[in-house]
Amino acid sequence: MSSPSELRIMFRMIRRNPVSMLGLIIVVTFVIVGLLAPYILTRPEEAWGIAYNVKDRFLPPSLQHPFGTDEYGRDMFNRVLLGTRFSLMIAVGVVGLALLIGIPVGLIAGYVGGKVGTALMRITDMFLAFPPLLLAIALAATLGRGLTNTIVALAISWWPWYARLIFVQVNSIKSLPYVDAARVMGLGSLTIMFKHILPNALTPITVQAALDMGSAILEAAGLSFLGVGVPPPTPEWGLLVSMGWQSINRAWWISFFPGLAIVITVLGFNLLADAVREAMDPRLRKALIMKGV
Amino acid sequence: MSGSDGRKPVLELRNLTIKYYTLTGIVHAVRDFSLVIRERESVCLVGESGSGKSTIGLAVAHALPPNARISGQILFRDEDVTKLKGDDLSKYVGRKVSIIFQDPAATFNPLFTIGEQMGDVIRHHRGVKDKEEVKRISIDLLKKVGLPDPERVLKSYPHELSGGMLQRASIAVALSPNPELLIADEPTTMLDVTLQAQILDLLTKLKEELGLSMLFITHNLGVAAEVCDRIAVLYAGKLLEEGGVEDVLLNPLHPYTRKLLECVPRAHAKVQKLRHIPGTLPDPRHPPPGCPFQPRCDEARDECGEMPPLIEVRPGHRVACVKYLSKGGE
Repeated sequence: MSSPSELRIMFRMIRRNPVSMLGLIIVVTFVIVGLLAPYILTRPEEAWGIAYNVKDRFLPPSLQHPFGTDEYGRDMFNRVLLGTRFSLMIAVGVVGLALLIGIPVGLIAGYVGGKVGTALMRITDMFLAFPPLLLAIALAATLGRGLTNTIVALAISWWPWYARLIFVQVNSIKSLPYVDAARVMGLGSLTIMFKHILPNALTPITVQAALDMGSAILEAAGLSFLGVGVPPPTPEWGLLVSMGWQSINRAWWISFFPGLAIVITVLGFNLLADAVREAMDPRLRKALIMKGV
Repeated sequence: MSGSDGRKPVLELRNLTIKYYTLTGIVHAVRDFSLVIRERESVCLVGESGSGKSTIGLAVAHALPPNARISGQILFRDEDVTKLKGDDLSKYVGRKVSIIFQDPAATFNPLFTIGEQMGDVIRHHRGVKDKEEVKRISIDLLKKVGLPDPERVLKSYPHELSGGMLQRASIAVALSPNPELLIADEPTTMLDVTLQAQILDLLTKLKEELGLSMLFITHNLGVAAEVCDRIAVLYAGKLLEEGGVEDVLLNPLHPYTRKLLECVPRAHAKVQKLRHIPGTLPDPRHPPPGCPFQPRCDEARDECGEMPPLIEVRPGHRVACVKYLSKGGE
């Protein structure tokens, strides 16, 4: 009666639910397109924003230009397609970097406790005191425009949430009997921290991270829209929306399609995060396993 | 302190006092408690919930929460272990002394197999690195605690095993460092009655086979009768009576012990209401001076306002009650 692996259980549960499946399909498509984007472009120069095509300005969607063209006559479909790559980099970069800072801070603060813990958590609180987007805007503006700077700015305003989440988890887990048992069996602090506490503290943060992938894309788009994010002519989705909105009366498609891409991707991540949360809930899971899923 | 037949003491608690510092005040969990456990001897701590019996177990295993303060001495083989740190501590905790907890399902990390968790302990304490060797030792231990199909148990996750199997497995883990003293903190409370008997038999058998000393913590006098050589009765952190199992259970001296025994339901007795002791434990933040049982005691008198010392009424049978102060016996 060996149990199937975590991923397998999760996949089985997602497959049962069409809505979760939709989320998974969206996210997988997003990742594949993001990885392959530079190689499947039909008009790479236009996509990268190097080439202009002034006579084709503001063409509405057609078979030739499914998403229409922008004020420089560049094909929006290619632009949005390439934008997927930047959004993917932002999603993974921001959440990854934030996890990389937040998890150790929360884990050490929670496990060591005392003065060290208090100091770490008060620093975390200082970051939490600012509205996150405001902090990100200030940081992005200070660091200057660019993809890396956008990612760094967002990650810095982001990690305190993870630190908090892990801290709370660690605090409740460290007094569980199996942690006590490991301690009285004389196992070392590192073993206890990384084997007994951290893996058990990861469930909520996994869900949160999946959810945040969407939010990171949204906030990066916001930064670009405000002019402190990725600089033109990079076809980042938020930037595409912002560049199109001045001519929205004349050419709605310029803002519409990148906006739609953002909405769909964020939705996909949200649906997937919900599915992950369900799959990790032991009660829901047990019920499903008993049903023979 | 007679009745020892010359066996060396393994654990000696001297005037142990443990307080918890909490937001609502200082909780006096254990007060001036002394006890000796000798080689191959098993001693039961008996008392109601909140009497401080688990606290003593945790103190011996160095597992008290950080808000606890200890004074007095815990001597293990004549060495005070309360002040151990670093390397010396890790040579003591889990190696000389190990502990079995109440809830077997909660003492294993749900994310790893029994084999992995046992392996950690074996590698840590026996310095064995070789995978096969670790596995061999694990299987040996699992066989020793009477688990059928040890290979399968090693590969199982905690949720795949029953409570009884898990408790056996946790005993195997506790035994893996070859400890001298095993602390069992209500190891059968969460199990159903048939399993209780099996686990108690197993512990008694292991104790004999391996020459272990045991500190057995329970609120169940029946359990105490089955596994222990001596019984120590605790009330509100104070030792009230201590002696050989038969002495204490058949000729209880302290009024509290008597009341406790009256509360044990008997199968062959005529149907009657379950007995209980009226009143509750005193507030551990403000323990009354003198005998803590005095407010609930039928035989309380004026002298009870001062805590009497332990009086050896019979050889090896001591009690802290003013009743025996002058007479020296009943």
